[in-house]
Amino acid sequence: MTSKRTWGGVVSILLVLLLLGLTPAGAQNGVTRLQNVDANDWPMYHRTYDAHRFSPLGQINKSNVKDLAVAWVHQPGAVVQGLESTPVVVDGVLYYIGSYNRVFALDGATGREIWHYFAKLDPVVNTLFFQPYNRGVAVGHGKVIFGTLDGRVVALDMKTGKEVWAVTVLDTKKCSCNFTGAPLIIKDKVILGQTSGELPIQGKIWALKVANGEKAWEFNTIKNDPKSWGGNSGKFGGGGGWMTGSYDPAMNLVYWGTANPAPDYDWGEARPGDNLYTSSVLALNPDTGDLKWYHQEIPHDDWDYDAGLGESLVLDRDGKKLLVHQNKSGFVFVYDRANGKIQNVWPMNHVYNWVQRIDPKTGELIGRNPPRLGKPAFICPWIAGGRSWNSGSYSPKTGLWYNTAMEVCEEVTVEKQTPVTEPAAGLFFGGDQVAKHSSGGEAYGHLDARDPVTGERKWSVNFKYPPIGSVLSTAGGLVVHGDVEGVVRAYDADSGEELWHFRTGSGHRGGPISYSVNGKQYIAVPSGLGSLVLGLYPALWPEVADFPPGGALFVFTLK
Amino acid sequence: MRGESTRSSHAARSRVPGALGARAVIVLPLALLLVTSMPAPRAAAQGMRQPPPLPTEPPFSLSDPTVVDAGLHLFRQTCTGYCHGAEGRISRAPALRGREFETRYLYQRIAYGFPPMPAFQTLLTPEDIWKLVAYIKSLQHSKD
Repeated sequence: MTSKRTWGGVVSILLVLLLLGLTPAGAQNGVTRLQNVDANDWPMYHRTYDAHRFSPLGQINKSNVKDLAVAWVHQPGAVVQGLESTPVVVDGVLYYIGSYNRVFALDGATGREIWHYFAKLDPVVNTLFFQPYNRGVAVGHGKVIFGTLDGRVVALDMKTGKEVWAVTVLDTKKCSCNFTGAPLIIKDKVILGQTSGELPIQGKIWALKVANGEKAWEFNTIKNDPKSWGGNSGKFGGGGGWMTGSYDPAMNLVYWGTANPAPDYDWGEARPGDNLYTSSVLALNPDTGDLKWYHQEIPHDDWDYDAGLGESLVLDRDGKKLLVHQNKSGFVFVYDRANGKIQNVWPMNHVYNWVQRIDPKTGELIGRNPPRLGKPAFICPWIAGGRSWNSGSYSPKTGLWYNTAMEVCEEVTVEKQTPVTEPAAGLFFGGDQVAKHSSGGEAYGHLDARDPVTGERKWSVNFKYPPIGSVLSTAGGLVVHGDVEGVVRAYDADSGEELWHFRTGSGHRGGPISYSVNGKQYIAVPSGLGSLVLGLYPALWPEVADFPPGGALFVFTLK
Repeated sequence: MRGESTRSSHAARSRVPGALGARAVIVLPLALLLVTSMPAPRAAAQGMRQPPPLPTEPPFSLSDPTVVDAGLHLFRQTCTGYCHGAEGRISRAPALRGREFETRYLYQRIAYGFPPMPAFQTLLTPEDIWKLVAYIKSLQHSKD
């Protein structure tokens, strides 16, 4: 085994040297490896810039997946709010982040720790709403980069785990905002967005120079436009872009979803106007931050349907260059990614009443049903979304998008609220809500295989408790997904038939991945129940309050 | 290959809120017994927003209906369905209805938090915290 690993290492190094030699400009910065991803690697949050979350590895496949066994387990040692992240793997080394910004570099074959880095966090973190979870790190230019719970961005040396630079980007003590999403490295910059959708502040997307952390640009998701934000409402407009975008290198455009406006609910004249650029998809020039196009999916968002979450699938079909994006409303928007023109809009959810429909040609919301001051409003889907921030997975082999949905409603009570900004920003929801079953039956969730462009459904698997874990698909014809009860399963990507399962002991909120070391394929599955969203479940299912939290990375391989 | 970061992080562990959070689960039953002598665990930590002094007495009657009503509105704004269920019903956080809590325990729990519950001592005035205490105490005889 030892000699095998050594040879594997030598081959990897030779391959790297070869790449460096052949493509001098980008490769020297490690950028080529992010554009032409090695089949063995998972080098960024969604694996590739197109956000497919698909592994081209097929050693583990439909016929042998029943022989999967645990290769190793790693525990981050902090379990508050579970384990929400997606690991990354480069050259056989697995990097991941747990709660309280604990970062680990592990031997991908054995789980042996190479280094760890526990961020020294300001105690202000204990006063925040968005904590102590983190969804992932970015790797490139020899660095591991992540945003912190106290508003900093930190770059570590990939080999040693030593801090290369750390810069303060956000005034967390004042704004109560921070970083929880995985950054995206594009060329010489690292891009990430902040939390702010429920805060009376102006949320931004930031680009820093990978070399030293110096700010390259910032994009304010609150447009300075009195028509879009009546009175002084824009000052407290929220927004931001707290999850990870995608990138089309040929067009040199980065696609980033933006969060909901604050307050989440409008008691009437809380924020007159359409509230640009909240609950939108932006196409930005990653070099300058200039806006190429945008589409506001939820003009004047009345429901907290937040377009900041989820992947922006970059997809080519029939000569068309498409972008597929879903917000919390449960509707999936399909764009021409060159100009933002709507190609289709389709519902992932069966149960909704927040609109009657959305025009699939224009994206216009028809028959809006906003909660307002007065009588509590019955709204579907609930504030957790038709889907939460967990990602689906697109398999170019099957042409299907494997994606989860939550069929849950809510009762919203809107309340007038004065924004608090001193001494620090306080939560600015403008109301509260409680989960409800739909009028037609019990709430539930499902994992679907769908055509991402038309929405046509190939198969579905239902869950009593709506799933909130991300999905992995592989060239082995497998779909891997973990549920809230703590069972991870592998399905036949063509039929949805369950082929394998394993009980990890705590529910799933993070992202499973696949990678290969020394010719052996692994599937890594973060397990550990936590999440703000989970706090909404016990109103319908009291037993969920007792589902065990946890934090463990399970890594499987063939026996 | 354990580098400098490993060593420095060990040194920092006592100040990392995460370490406290993970252990707090075990400490809970003990904390419940020792509520009256519970120290202010993180109030004096470096870099904290300056906390207000802990008042020993509420500035108004906690059974005053207007105070309780003000507490209800604050509860909806700050305790939210994500954390506590509507009107203190079950959530991932403990249910608050139909339970008797010691007054100072409630105040301290809101002021100092309990991961992942935020510490509100620098976000809310002592008066507002007392209003929340008044509202939560008003739920103690709720049967639903």
